[in-house]
Amino acid sequence: MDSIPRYLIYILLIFFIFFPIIYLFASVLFPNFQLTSLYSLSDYITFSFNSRIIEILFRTILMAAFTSVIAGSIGLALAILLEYTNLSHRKLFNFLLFIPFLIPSYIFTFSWMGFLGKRGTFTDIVFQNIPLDIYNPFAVVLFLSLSYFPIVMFIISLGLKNVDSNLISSARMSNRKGLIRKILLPLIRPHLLIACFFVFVLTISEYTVPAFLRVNVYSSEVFAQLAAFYDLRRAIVLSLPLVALALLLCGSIQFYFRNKSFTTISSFSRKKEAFIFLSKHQKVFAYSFILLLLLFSLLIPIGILGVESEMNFFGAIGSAKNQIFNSISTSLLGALAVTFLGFFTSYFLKKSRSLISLISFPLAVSSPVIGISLINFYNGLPIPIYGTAWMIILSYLVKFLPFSILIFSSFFPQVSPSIEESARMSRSSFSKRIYRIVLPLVKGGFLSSFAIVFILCIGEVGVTQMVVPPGFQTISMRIETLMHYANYSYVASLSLFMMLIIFFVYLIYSWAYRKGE
Amino acid sequence: MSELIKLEAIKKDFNGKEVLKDASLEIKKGERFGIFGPSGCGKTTLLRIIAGLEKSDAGKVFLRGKEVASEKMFALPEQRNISFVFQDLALWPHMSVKDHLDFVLSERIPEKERRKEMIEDILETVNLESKLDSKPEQLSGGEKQRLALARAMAQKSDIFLLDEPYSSFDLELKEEMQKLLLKMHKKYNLTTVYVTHDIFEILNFCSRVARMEDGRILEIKKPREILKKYVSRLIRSV
Repeated sequence: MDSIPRYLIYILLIFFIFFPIIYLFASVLFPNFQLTSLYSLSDYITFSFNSRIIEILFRTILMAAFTSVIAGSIGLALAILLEYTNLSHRKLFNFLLFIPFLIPSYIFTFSWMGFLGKRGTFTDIVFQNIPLDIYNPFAVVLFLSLSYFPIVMFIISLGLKNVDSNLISSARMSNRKGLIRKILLPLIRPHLLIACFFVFVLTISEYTVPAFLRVNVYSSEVFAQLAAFYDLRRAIVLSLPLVALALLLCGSIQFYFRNKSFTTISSFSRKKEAFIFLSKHQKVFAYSFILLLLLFSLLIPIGILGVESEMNFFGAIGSAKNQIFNSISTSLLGALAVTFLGFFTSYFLKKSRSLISLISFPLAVSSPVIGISLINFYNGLPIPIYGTAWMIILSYLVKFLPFSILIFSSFFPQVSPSIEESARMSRSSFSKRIYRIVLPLVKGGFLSSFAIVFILCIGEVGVTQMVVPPGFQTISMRIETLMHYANYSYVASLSLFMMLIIFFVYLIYSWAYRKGE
Repeated sequence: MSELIKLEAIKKDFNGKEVLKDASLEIKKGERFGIFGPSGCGKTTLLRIIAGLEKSDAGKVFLRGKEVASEKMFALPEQRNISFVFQDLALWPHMSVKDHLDFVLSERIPEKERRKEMIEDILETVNLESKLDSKPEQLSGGEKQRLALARAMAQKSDIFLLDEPYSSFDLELKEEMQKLLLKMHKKYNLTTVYVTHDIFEILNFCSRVARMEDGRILEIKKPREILKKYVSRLIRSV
């Protein structure tokens, strides 16, 4: 009987995810509900969406769309090259090319600014006579694409690994040229769509990178309403288009998946063989592409951080021992909580695509707004959560649960329903079915969700700084504080250390994933 | 012989399309009952309704004389104690042959040693003793089929449902599997419901057959009588 766990999950979702945000939106948008206001709601909306705001909104959407397309194309090309071709050292490249995602995007941009920006150590030497301006929307798109392409590569690789080899072999025999376009792409479409959607929402809610590069984006406007003008109501009103957009996109993706089968996990797993054989020239081109990407997304940023750290590692780490412990513990707990809730939510809602879309709406709610909604809700509750570090875990749940659900919802459709039905026929209990049948089959999703959410949690600043209890700081908050004081040496040292922690988790993840395979 | 499975006026509709129209039948204990008909006629849906994997829109299902599905109540598949062999076999890709059986047996036999003995006994019946630690991907088509039968057998149910289990096999393998199924049927005193669109499978295995078309059960007869009609229709069409 699975009705008890099912309803328990529904209650958790409503209580943790929906209610705080809906309560805040309702209380702010309907003045008679709680707050008083000088304007009517419609006046307020008309007043808030002036031509400048609309222009910024379109610019932000355009930037997010470009970033998705660029990161999506690079990620797709890399996934196919490293999964299906006869290139050498594919495992090593796969491993190295994921590392850029381990670098939080604001640290990535910070290090590039140390190379090409105004404070750039190398600008005077390298680009003395070249007028290079990185303070524009194109640079934001470029840096974010370089930062996010690994997540696309990663998600698509998961899909490619599960494609039944017989499907590819039959395509190779009948129409070799159409293999990628006619067979592979349609089979991995859910992975590609989900990956691009990830990049889109990550870009649209990003405000630190654009702020570094002095580009005004929509999330910065929402943040400014809260941080500079203390105008919660306008911040909420301005958040509405992003919420609507995320719901629309996520709904469209889920609707598209309806009644469609894609890659399948069957009793036959794909043999690790090359299906696409590259010629010598093609190989040279592929290697150059990979090496250039590694140079721009990994070697230069890490090199700059290394130079800027001035070898102050021990001093920087010594001064941030508590923050490091706080970050690791909250991120581990957060990733575990998000992954478990994500797993069960996707499991119970695998047939309700529309509900899954609805759960994804916090993706588009700006981080400070999520923070305020949690404070607003838990402050008034008679349970001792407000003012403790549990608020941070809750904020991770709200912010990152959609990522976990999206990862799992690309895994669950791959498991044939009859595989679980056969376990039901053998009279096994719900917990046994989950533990012995379902979990092992989607363990790749479980590990991926945990690793990705951990990486996102440890680099998170936006919500954390809103809900953090007094005297509590995380490593990313410490980095941001040090940036304000222009202590670049400590910023670089701590950033490198944070990347080391993330890298360690990534190593464990890679080992566990390979072992599982 | 008393009736073990009874369906009364079963109706089922998928997205506005009626796939079962007032389907009724009775299957007696120890029978080898076949459900025969062209693809899409509703035979798999009927089997899934018996198993509880699908709910009917109307009608009643009785198992072992007890009502298990009607407008008022619905017993879940795990409460019906039925063995089911799926068309795609539905083997668990991450489990070895031994683990497949152990998973099923551990539901009712807590002692590890007893389970081990039973696993050996079942695997001997289906000739898979040497593949104890193999995973499904390491087995041949016939071995996979035998594992699916062994798993269903491990459940020790008196009702055995098979959904086109040999549709992708060659003649030789089909015959081998049907012999094995007959052996199991006798040894464990089973009541078998066998769904297929292959008249020769019906002829070789079943003692009684329901012929279905377009969601309706047209007739329930002995396999030879069904074959006669089938052959004469085939000759007419030629």
